[in-house]
Amino acid sequence: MTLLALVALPFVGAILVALLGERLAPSRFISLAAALAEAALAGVAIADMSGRIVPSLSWAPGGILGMVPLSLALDGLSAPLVALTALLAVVATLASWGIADRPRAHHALLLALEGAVMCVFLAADLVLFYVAWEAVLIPMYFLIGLWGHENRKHAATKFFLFTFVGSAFMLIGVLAAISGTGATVLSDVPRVLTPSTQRLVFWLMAAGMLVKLPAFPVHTWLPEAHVEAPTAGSIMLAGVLLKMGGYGLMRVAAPLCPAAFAEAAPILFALGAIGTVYGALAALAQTDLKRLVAYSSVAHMGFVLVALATGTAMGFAAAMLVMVSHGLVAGLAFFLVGSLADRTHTRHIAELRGLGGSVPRWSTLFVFTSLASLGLPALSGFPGELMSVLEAFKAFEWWSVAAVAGVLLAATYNLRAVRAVVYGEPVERWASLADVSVREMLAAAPLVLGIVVLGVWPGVVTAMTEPAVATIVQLVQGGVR
Amino acid sequence: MIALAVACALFSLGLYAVLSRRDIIGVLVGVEIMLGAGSVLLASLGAASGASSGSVQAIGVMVLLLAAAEAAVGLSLLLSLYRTSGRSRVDELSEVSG
Amino acid sequence: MSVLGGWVTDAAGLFWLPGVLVLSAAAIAVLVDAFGRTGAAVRLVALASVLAAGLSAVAAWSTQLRPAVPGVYGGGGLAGCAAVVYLVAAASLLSSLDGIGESRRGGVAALIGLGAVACQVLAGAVDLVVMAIALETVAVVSYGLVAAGRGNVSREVGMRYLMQGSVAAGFLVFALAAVVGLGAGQTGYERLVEVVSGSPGAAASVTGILVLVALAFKAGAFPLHSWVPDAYEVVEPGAGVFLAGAPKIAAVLAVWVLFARSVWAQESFQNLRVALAVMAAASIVFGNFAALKQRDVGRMLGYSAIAQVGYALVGVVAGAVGTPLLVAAYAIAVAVAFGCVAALQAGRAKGRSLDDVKGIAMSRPVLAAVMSVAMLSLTGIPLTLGFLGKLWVFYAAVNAGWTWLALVGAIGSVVSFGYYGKVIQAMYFSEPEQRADEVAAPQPADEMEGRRGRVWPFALLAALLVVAGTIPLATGFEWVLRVLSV
Repeated sequence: MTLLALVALPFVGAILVALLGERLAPSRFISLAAALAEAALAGVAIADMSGRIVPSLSWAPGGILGMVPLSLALDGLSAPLVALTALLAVVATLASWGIADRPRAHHALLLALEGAVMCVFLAADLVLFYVAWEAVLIPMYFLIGLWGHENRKHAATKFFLFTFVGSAFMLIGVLAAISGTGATVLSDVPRVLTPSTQRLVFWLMAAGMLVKLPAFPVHTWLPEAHVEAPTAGSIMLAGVLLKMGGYGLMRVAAPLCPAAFAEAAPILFALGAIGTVYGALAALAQTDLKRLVAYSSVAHMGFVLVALATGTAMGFAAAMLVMVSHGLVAGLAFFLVGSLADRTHTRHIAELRGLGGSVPRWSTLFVFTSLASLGLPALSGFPGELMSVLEAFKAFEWWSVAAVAGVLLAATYNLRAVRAVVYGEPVERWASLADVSVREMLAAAPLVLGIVVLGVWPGVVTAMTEPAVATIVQLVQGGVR
Repeated sequence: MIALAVACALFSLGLYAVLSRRDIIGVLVGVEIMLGAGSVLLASLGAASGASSGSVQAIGVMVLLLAAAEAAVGLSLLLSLYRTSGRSRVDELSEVSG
Repeated sequence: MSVLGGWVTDAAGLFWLPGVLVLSAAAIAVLVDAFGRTGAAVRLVALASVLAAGLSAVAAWSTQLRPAVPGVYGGGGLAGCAAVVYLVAAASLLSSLDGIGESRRGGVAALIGLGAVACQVLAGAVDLVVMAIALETVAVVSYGLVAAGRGNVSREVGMRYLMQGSVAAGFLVFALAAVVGLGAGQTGYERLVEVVSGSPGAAASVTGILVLVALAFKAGAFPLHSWVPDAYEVVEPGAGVFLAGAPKIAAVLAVWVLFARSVWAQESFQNLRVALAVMAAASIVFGNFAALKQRDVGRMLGYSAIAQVGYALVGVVAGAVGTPLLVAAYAIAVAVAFGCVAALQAGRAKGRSLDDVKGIAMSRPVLAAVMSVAMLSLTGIPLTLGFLGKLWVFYAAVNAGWTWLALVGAIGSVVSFGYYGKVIQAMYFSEPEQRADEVAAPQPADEMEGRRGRVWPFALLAALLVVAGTIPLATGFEWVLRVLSV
C-alpha cells in the first residue's frame, strides 16, 4: 500500500497543482507540500523495508495478455534511488521558486516527472517498468521545451528522439524476454533463455539503458538537454533520470541474460572507461559553465558503467554508491549554476570571474561541490570511485588504468572551473550580485549533508544494497539457481 | 479453356485502356471492360466447375450491380468536374501534386 | 413481449440493430434534407450513430466472436471495432462540416451513416461475396466523401481516387470469378480455403494475391498507397474524421478475418504470409520517411496512415489478437487529429499547414492538449491506447518468430515522432504567426466565438484514449481484451 501511495502521490499532487494552483495558493507551495509529503512517505517505506531480498520480476503464465502490470516492490537496490528521487524533487521544487511563466503547468509537470521516475524504480513487473521508463519522457520533454533556454526546441526534440530510439529497442528486448521465458518468477525460471536469445535480449535492452546512462558514444543528447533545460529540469535529469540506465542494467538486463552479460562485460568496461576520459577532456575544453557540469556527468556515469561491468557484488555496490553520490553532487552543482545563471544571465566562464569576493556563500558551496565531484576523500565521490577502480583491477587488470586516468582528469577540470570562477580577477559587473538566499541554503543543505555523510560513512548505502545485490549477482554469475 | 482465354484477353484490353487513355470517359470504359471480363470468366468457370448455378448467378448479378454503381458515381463526378472546370482529360487533373 | 425482448438481446439482434438504426436514420436524413432541414438531418444520423455505438459496445462486452448474420461475424472484438466505427462517424457529424456546402451536408451525413454500416459488415465478413459488396460500398462512400470537399481540387482528387479504385474493383471481380472456379462455387471462407488449398499452388496463390491487392488498396498499404496522401490532404476535415479511420478498420479486419483466421493455417499459403510481411515492412518504412517532409498536416496524416496500416499488417502476419485494438486506437486518434484541424479551420478558408498551428497552445489550450494526446497515441507513447495496441501486436510478432518485423515496427514508431512531434512543437514551442489579413482586419470577438469549431467530441475521444491506455496498467488487460481483441 505504501508503495502504491509512493507512486500515486506525486500524480495526485500534480493534479492538485493543476487545478488549485494560483487560485487556492501559489502553485509552488502546493508543489512543495506534495514533494515533502512524498519524501516523508519514502522514508517510511524504506524504514519498513528491513532488508528484503530482490523481488522477482513477474509476469503471468498467460503471457503478456493475462497479466496485471501494476506490481510494485522495494528492496535494497531501489531504496537508495527512491530516497534520492524524493530528496531531489524537493530541491527541484525549491529551485523553481521563481518561475513566473505558467507556474501551474511547470510544477504539475515536475511532480508528474517525479511520479514516473518513482514508478520506474519501484516497478516489479517488466511491462510496468517499460511503461514508466517511457512515461518519464513526456514531462521532461515539455519541461525542456517550454521553460528552457534559447536552443530549447532542438534540445527537447533531440532528447526525446534519442531516448525513444533506445527505448524502442528496449521494448523489443522486453517482449522477446517475456516471450522467451514465459515464466512467473525470476528466481526459479524453468526455461532459461538460450544463449542466442540472451544475446539478442541483452543488447536490445542495453541499447535503451546505455542511451539513458549515458554511455559513450550515445551520450550526445546529454550536453544540450542539460544546458537548455530549466534549473529544476537539469536537477531531475542529472540527479535522477540518468540513474535509470544503471538501475535497469543491474535489475533487468544482467540477471535475465547472465551469459550475454558476461560476454558483453569487456565492451561495457571499454565504453565506461572511454566515457570517463572523454567526459573529463570535454569538460576541460568547455567555456560554458553548465555544459562543463553536463560533461562531468558523462564522466561520472562512465564510472558507473565500469563498476557494473565487473559483475561482482562489490562492483554493483560500487556502482550504486557512485550513482547516489553523483545524484547528490550533480543536483547541487546544477542548482548552484542555475541560480547563478538566473542572476547573471550568462553561463560563460570567461565572464564569471572572481566571484569569491562578491558572492562568498555561493563560492563556498561551489568549491565544496567541485571537491566532491573530483572525489576528495571524506566526500561522497571517493568511496564509490575507489571501489570501482579496485574491482575493475580485479576483473580487467591493467586496462583499468584508463579509469584511473579518468579520476585524475576529474581533478583537472573541476579545479580549473573553481580557479576561473571563484578566484579570478574580480569584475565590476558582479560586485553587487545577490548572494545565496535563505531558501537556496535550505535547498542545498540536505544535499551537502548527504554528500558528507556518504563520504564519511558509505555503509549507509551499502548496508541497504548488500543483500539485494548479493542475490542479483548470484543470478548473474551462477546463471540459474 | 477458350472462355478463359477470352476473359483474360478482355481483361488485358480493359487494363490497357485504363492505362493508356487520356480522357476520363475512356478510363471508365476500360474499367467496365475489365468488369465484363470478370463476368465472362465467372460464367465460364461457374459452368465448368459444377457449382450450384444459383450461387454463380447471384454473384453474376452482384458484379453487374457493382459495375453499374461505379459507373453511376464515376460519370456523375465526371460531369460535375467538367461543368465546373471544363476538364475531362486525365493529365489535366493536376492541381494536387502526387 | 418477453420473446421479442429475448430475441433482441441475443447477439444476432444486437448485431443487426445498430446497422438498421443507422441505415434508417441515413435514409430519413436524405428525406429530411430534401425539405431543407439540413442541420436536423445531420443531427439525426449523429444520434443514431451514438446509439449504435452504445449497442455495439454492449454486444462487445457480452458476447464472443460468433456468426451473427449469415456471412458476417460479430460480437467480441468485431463488435468493439464496430462501436469505434460508429463513434467516429458520430464525431465526424458533430464536428463543423464547414467546407461542405450547406446543400450537400445532408447527403454527406447519409453517406457517412451508410459507410459506417458498410464498414461494420466488411470488418466481419466471412464470405467472399459479402466482403466484395461491403468493400465496394465503402469504396463508393469514400469517393463521395473525398469529392464533397471545397473547390475543384476535391473533385479532381475524388476522380483520380475513383479511377484507381475501380481498377482495384476490377481485379477483385476477376479474383472472385477465379475463386468460384477453383472453389466450386463455395464462397464462405472456411470451406473456400480448404478447397482452394487443394488446387494447384500457382492458381491458389494468384487468387489470394488478387484478393489481397483489392483489400490492400482499400487499406492504403504500400505499394497501393498512392491515393492516400492526396485524399487526406484534400478531404474536408470533418469528413476526414470518419474517412481516415473507419475504412482502415474495416479493410484491416477484413484482411485479418480472411488471412489470419483461415489462410495461415494452410501450409500452401506460407509464401503469401511472407509477401504480406514484406508489404507491412515496406509500408512502415515508406510511410514514416515520406511523412517527415510534409508541411501540410493533412498530407502528413496521409503518409502516416500508410505506416499505421503497416503496423496493423504486422499484426495480421503474426495472427495477433490485438490487431483490432491497434487499428481502433489509430482510428480514434486520427479522428481526433482531423477533428482538431476542423475546429481550427472553422470559419477560415486557409489550408492547414504547420504554420497555421503555431502557438495555438496559448489561444486554445484545450485544442492543443487534445491534439497532443492524439499525436502521442499515434506515436505509441505509453499511457495511451495506441501504445497498448502496438505492445500487443509487437508481442505477438516476437512470439510468432517475426522479431525482425517487430523491430522494424518499433523503429518506425520512433521515426514517426519526428513528424508527430513537429505538430506538438509548433503548437507549444513556437510563437503564433501574425497573418497579414488577420492583422489588417481583426474579426469581432463574438463572431469568432460562434465560428469556432466544436472541440468537445474530440476531447471526449482523447480522454478515452488516455483512460483506456492507463487503467489497464493497474487493473489488468482483461476488460480491454474482451472488447477489442479477436
